[in-house]
Amino acid sequence: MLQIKNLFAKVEDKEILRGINLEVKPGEVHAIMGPNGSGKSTLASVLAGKEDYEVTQGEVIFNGKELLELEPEDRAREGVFLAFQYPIAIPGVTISNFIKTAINEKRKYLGEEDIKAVDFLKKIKEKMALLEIDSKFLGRSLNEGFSGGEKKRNEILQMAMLEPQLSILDETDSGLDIDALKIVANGVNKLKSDQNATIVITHYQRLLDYIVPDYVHVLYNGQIVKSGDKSLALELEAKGYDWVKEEVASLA
Amino acid sequence: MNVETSFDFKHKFIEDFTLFDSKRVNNSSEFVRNLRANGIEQFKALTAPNRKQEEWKYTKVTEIINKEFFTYASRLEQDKIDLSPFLIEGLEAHLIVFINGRFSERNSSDLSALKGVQVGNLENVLQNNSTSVEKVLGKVADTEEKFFAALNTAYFEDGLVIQVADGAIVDKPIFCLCLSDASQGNLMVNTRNLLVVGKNAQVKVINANYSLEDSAFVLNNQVSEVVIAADAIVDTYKLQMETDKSYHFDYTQIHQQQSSKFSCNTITLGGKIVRNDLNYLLQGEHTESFLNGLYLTEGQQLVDNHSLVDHAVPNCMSDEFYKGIMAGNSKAVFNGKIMVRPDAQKTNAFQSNKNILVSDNATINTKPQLEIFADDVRCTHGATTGQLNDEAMFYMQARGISKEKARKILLQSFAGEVTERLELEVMRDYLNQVIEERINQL
Ligand SMILES: Nc1ncnc2c1ncn2[C@@H]1O[C@H](COP(=O)(O)OP(=O)(O)OP(=O)(O)O)[C@@H](O)[C@H]1O
Ligand SMILES: [Mg+2]
Repeated sequence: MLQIKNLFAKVEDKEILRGINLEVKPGEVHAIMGPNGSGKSTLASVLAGKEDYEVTQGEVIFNGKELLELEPEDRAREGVFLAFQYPIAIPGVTISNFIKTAINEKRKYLGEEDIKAVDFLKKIKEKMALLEIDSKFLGRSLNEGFSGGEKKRNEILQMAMLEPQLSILDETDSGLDIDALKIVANGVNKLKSDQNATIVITHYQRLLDYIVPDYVHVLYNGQIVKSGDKSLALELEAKGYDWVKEEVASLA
Repeated sequence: MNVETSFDFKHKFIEDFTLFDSKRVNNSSEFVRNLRANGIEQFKALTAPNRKQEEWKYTKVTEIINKEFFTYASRLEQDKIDLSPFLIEGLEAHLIVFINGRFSERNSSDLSALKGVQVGNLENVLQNNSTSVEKVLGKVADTEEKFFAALNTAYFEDGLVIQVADGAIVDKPIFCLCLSDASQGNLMVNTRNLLVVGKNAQVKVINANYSLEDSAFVLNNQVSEVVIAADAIVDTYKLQMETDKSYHFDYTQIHQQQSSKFSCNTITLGGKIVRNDLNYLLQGEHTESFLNGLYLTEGQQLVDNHSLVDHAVPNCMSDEFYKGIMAGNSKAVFNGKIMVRPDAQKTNAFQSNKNILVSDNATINTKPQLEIFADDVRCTHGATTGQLNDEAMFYMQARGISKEKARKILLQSFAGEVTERLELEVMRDYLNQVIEERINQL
């Protein structure tokens, strides 16, 4: 589904991604961990199409298409979803209208009709119930005055509504209390199928107890320096990153 | 060079005044003749606005004072006009129509038997019951330092007069439609409006301005005098929707008595040059004053909103909230002055002006001006100017919303923060729709 090949990207002349290689197949869950500032969010933003980042080398293939050639909105319509580490507030736009617009933009792209108002309402109520979000949120301005946890839940609500093929969750667990973490993880698990895939960016093993990864990667200095199965996350939790950094240093 | 041309404009109206006044000598009271004479004296003493004057620093009126305008509107058509383009869907209102500043009875609703309120035109009121307005007319507005307002005092003939009785709650909004027809050449319209609301009374008033015909220019020069008695609740709207062959000057002076609530919502979508002077004098304690404004400009438009909230007594609250979206080569000016006099302890005054420039050639000059002479007050103010928020744009695009659409949504929601403050729901809906259409064209 997704192949990232030797991806280099920079921002304001600063090289941040320095040769990323990653392959994600349908049905898989990949966890990306790594120290602060290693480039995790940058990778997510580059995949989603943020303009600030300039790709200097490499390619990304998504379902056979050159992802980097597409506009951000077309990437989303093709099925890429990024749950933001820091979701943006948009005063004056209700969650309900926002999500409906997003769905219809995707449908238009796929040559489908707009979603019917009743169907939309039914679906969003269902997903809100799944994520235990109060229905009064529907009429609230997007992320405006939301608590950290509410923003993160709202991201997953959008994911549930848009049904992407590839979801990239950037530190969706940060800011969630323990109960909310379970609810959100449960929501993500329910949305999983053998058709779609998830990349989970996180600092904490805890999330991976609930969303169990098939692969765990360590991103350090703009490269994936180590990959393993879920036991790698446990090892990182116990030992921190120093031993990984040392390994990298000894190889250099 | 400017001095010379401005002299022409001024000179013409000083010259014409004698004839203008003498033609009306037979049907004008002493009171009105004195008022006019006073107006022309004030006008004579003033220099035309120029950029050396602090109050006109960013607003150039040269193109106006270089033009010749006629003040008479030959009593145009009394035909029924198709008003549908100017009406607001779903709004049930008492309609009063002015064409080129003159009352058009045929196009207005029957206003003869309204309960608790008299709605009429100034010319008629002055002829039949002049004493009822003599306490207000010329007594509230201070035109001494206002070039165009002084000219209005010298040349006004008609306007909207609303008098609400004590305790009356007017059943429907009063919708005043001011239409201009420049088919006979450049025209200056001097409208003088009075709004006098009794104790404990409630009323909503809409003043909407449109161009009917704009083959030549119109100088729409309005002065409004507003007196709000104790405990009254009044909600007013100014819709400035003229074409770019129109210049619009509005000076509104409000006197607010204790525990009254007054809102003025100024929505400017049209006009080549628009200048609003919106002044509140808070005379009684515990008043609430709201000033909401929204301006969407494009092309060569210039919209200048000046305001003054004069906290002369303690314990009053004022809240000013203006937003603008500027496109093309347009310009906007915001100058909001809050005066807190030494006695006005416990004043709560808020002010905010936010702007989005959607073109590199558009400009905004925004200036909050706080003059605070009391110590126990709470004043907050803020002004921002920016482009569309890139982070928000990307967030929406990352959800599959096209750049174009994201832009529209952001602009609409930006403007929506003003319309959501409007109390009249039909007005909110109407304006949201008009704004949406406008934004789609930007
Ligand atoms: N727009 C930008 N301008 C300048 N520097 C940037 C920009 N975006 C990212 N960087 C820098 O790139 C590096 C990688 O940032 P990134 O946000 O990808 O890290 P991260 O791995 O997600 O960190 P964290 O775990 O703290 O979220 C950091 O040093 C960051 O300061
Ligand atoms: Mg990050």
